[in-house]
Amino acid sequence: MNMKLSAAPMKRKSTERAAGSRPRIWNRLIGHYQLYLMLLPCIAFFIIFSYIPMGGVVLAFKDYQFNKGIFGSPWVGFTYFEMFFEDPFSLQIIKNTIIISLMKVFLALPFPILLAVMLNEIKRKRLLHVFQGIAYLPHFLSWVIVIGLVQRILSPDTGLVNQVISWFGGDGSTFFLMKENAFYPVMFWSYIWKDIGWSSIIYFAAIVGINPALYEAAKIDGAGRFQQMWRITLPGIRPTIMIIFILSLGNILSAGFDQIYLLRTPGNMNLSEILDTYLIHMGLESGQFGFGTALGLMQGFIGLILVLVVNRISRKWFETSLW
Amino acid sequence: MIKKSYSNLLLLLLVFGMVLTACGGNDAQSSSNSDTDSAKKAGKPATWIADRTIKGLIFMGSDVTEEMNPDIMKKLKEMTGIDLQLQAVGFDDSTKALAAGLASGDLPDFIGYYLNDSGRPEMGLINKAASEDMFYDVAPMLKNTKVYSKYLEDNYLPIDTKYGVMFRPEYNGAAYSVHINIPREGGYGVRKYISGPYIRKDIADALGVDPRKITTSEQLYELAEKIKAGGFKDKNGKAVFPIGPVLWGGSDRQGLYNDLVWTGFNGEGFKRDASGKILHESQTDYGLKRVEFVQKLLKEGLMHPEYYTMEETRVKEGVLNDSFAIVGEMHNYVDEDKDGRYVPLGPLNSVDGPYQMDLTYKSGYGAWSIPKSTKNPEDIVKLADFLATREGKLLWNYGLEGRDYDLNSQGNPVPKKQVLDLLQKDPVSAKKLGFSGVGNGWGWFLGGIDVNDLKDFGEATYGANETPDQDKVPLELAKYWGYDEKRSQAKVKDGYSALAFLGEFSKGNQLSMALDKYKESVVRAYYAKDMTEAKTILDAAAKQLQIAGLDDYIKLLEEKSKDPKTQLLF
Amino acid sequence: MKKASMFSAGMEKTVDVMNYGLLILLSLSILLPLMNVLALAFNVGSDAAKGGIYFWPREFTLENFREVFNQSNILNGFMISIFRTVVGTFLSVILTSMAAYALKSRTLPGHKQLTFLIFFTMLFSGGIIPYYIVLKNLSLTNSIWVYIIPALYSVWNMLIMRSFFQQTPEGLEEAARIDGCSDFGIFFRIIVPVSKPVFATIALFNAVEHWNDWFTGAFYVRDSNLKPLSTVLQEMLTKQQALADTLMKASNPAQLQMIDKIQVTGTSLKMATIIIVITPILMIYPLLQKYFAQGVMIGSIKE
Repeated sequence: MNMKLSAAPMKRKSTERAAGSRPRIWNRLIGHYQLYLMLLPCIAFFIIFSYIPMGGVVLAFKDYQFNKGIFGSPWVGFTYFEMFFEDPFSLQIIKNTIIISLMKVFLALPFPILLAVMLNEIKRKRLLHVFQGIAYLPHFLSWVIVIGLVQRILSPDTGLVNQVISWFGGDGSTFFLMKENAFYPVMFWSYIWKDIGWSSIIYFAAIVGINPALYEAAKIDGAGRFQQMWRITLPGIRPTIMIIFILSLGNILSAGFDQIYLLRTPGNMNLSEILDTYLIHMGLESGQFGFGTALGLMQGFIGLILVLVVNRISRKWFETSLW
Repeated sequence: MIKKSYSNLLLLLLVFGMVLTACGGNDAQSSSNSDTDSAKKAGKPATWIADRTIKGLIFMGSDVTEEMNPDIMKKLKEMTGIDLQLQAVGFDDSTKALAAGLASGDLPDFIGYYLNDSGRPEMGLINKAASEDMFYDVAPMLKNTKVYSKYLEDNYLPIDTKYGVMFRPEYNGAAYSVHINIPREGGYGVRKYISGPYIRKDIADALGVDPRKITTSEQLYELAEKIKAGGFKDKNGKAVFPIGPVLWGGSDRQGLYNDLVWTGFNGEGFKRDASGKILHESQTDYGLKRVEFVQKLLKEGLMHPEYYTMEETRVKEGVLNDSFAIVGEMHNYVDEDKDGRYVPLGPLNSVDGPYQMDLTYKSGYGAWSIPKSTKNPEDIVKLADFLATREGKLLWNYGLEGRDYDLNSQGNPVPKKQVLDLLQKDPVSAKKLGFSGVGNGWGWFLGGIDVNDLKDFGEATYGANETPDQDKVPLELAKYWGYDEKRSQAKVKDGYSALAFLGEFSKGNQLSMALDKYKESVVRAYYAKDMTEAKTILDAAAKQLQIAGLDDYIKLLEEKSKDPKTQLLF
Repeated sequence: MKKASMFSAGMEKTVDVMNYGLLILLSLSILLPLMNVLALAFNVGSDAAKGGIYFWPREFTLENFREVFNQSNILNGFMISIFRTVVGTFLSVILTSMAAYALKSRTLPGHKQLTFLIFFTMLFSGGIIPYYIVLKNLSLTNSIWVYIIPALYSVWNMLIMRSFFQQTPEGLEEAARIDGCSDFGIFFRIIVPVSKPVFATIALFNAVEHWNDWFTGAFYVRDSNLKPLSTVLQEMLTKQQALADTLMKASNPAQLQMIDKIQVTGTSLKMATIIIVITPILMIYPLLQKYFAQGVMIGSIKE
């Protein structure tokens, strides 16, 4: 049913394109003047606050000098990129960054959706509000607090986890945070814990927006609750899922500085060095504007390519796309 | 479609690029000075500078108190005519804020920033700004000053401040950055700091051990074994850990096994060997020796498993509960040891033999510069000079005569009792009185040079004469440890630290990262499952250092050490 | 059919039990640590440092909160925060939703290119310096509008809103258009009323972002009277951190002398600030929640 909704305009568009001649476009431009009015402040905003400063990306190819400004500074070509790729650490860092953010984009995706669906199953409004309110709370705790908590829970001997292990007769002295193989699970689950509630808000709003008549119809057809979830809820929020997924892909090379930085121990240093922590190491603050910009540019390009590919696939298979 | 968007984008970029250049060009303006002030000077005090407002931007966010006490500011205005306004930025990251401020040219009359020595990362930025014509040359202005003129004397400034920070050779006598907190005498120190491992006194007594006799890591190991066998308990009745982490949060510090660390002057890992050759620890076998020692401690449960990573609050929790028999490192002035339960251990020998106290000749902590956009740069130098005189220092250290202090027969300030009481009871309100003694060091950013409070005010720290008991325990511990004797035999050194030249080294960033990695790798090796794995880890880190140009850097160090202007601390 | 529902009745129960079980588990994992935060915030700092405080304060005190509120510009910061949150959220939601609605229209020439160009800004930026220069040239630095104007649009929120609007049935708009409604009319009379959950969601996102953002205040504003609550609190906590850092270096007696006079309450102070930051958000949350649960009226309109 939902499919039909989104499919209809697509069809209309193709017929329009066939008939598209100059006067029609003019008519459409004029006919939509109110929509353009709505967009006007938006366009102005992005020109001023995004595109003008974006001129600064030329810094990636320049040796920035204070007295000469962005455009007067001398060109240095691809020096910064060469510097990065000549560094023996760089490949490892890119690998680490990608693994961490892939986990956050792909593996973490179902959790907030699941939570939203679960919340939707609660029919008592008051109880629903309580659960929702609680689930959002960790979003407001900073990573320093969350990781502090994680350290306590996982500490050898005295931590909760180790106490449980020794309760069952195991060796309760594992120093999880110093173990390389514990890094990914700890990183992943602390991320889920902190963000599951907050990320579920958007999916919940999408679920609430599904036409109740669809559920009625399904019930009459004899669909159980699982079937309703599978056949109505999930397809109903699929456009939202896809949009959020594509948007997150754009940020694929920023794996989240605070959390990773705080979880770093000498034990996991081979996995936890990411682009953001690398920038700190390279002394971005000490006036190496060009180098930082160059890395940012690289992040942007990789994000762009991913988004272009996935957007195309999504448009073909799910009829949802960013543009 | 995408192609089209790109061409649109390119067009946009071009257009706005032009707009941006048009906006960015008018930053460095300097206008002529108005000389009308000299006329007004008649009938004003000798300290009079000019009737103006001076705004300072301090990139040391957390050290700045922006609100001034109005009475104190009135007094400053009466004496100098200056209305001083301080603003703070960059609480989270001072250097980044400094970079943005410099890049946008959005700076007030003067700026202050952290700068311990020329090897700090800020220096690269300041140096860049100086050579790119962002600051006034203050060298000629310093000539006519009362206190700051000392900076031009031959032997006043330490080598690094002189040739590394202020009068760098490439500036040909000009100075763009003024280093502050330089004390009057070399090796000057107000407090008797003893940092290193500490041990619970009751445990040492019960075992009949004199902590001061522990001078090798082997002895420390035996002591830890005895502690473990002794079955001592903490305040909650739980068994103590023989060795607990550094008080300020787990980290690898040398004090606990000083004879197993190729430490160098500031713990940077560079040191000369017996033949005088500079080596980094990765080129010696001390890393491996230490790993062996720490692994032994960890495996036998003598050292807390989280020694290198524990959070500060948890360490302090443990120390307050007496849960650690030995604390990896703390010092005698910390709050957690106000009662002297813990006493210093050792000191342990170094790799060169018995303990030897090293002091730096003089060291700075911050610096200030005057941006080119400022209209009356001389006035800032004059104000800085006034704040550095005894009269000025009295104002920002002790407040107002009559309100905050009285002068005794020697002319030294005696803080009023109600101020000292308020400071004890309600430090937040006391701070509002607006001077350094109560926690608002507004004058320090310009006037904190030529420091010697004992000579200037008859006491080494604010209120020390009136509250003699405040440092009782720390001083007792200092006596116990033999501070004065060790201090009298201390070597006072002047020169550059080992990492001071990373900025001019072509692979500087890479090397600095590899050095950090080496330190992390050592800790990683402590936790390796056996010595073979540990050796692999250390070898890999040493190899990365080689790739990052360690040998070339050491060559550079050797070269620098030959020039008296760039001699090294070690 | 009757049989099927009877069969599923038992199943329904299990689903419910599992559902509640999981949600309760999640809630506990969140509430217990937060109880700990609460207990620490209301406990005497020096006593808390000894450890052993879990879910209830041992030595109750309001001192930590008093200390935080003692920061001179905290009330001022509070007012600034409220101003920017209310005004900023209001303007941002209106403007973002209008733009999202316009971009949704598939018949609008250039909507794809515009969407792409807007999305593009999410990927590339020239870094902090050109941005700073732009703000400075617009006289936005050191002004209260620096909190509001540069935050008017967010690509993320706009594209999400657009995706929601795309799912409202075209029939609604068609009908209104036939009735002679203009685009503005359709937006305000049809789209806004049926999209309350989306508006509530985006408003919540916006408000929380405004409330939590301390960076703008710390970086682009120098006048301490213009700093919002989050910046004031952040600065206070960094001061605590700086104290610890300086102590660790312990290289500079003059600096230590300055620092020793300030009392360190560390963790407890931090916990109190968390409570202070969360509470107002918790208070506005029920107001918005009403709109979440309201659902949409699409069902009532025949397609």
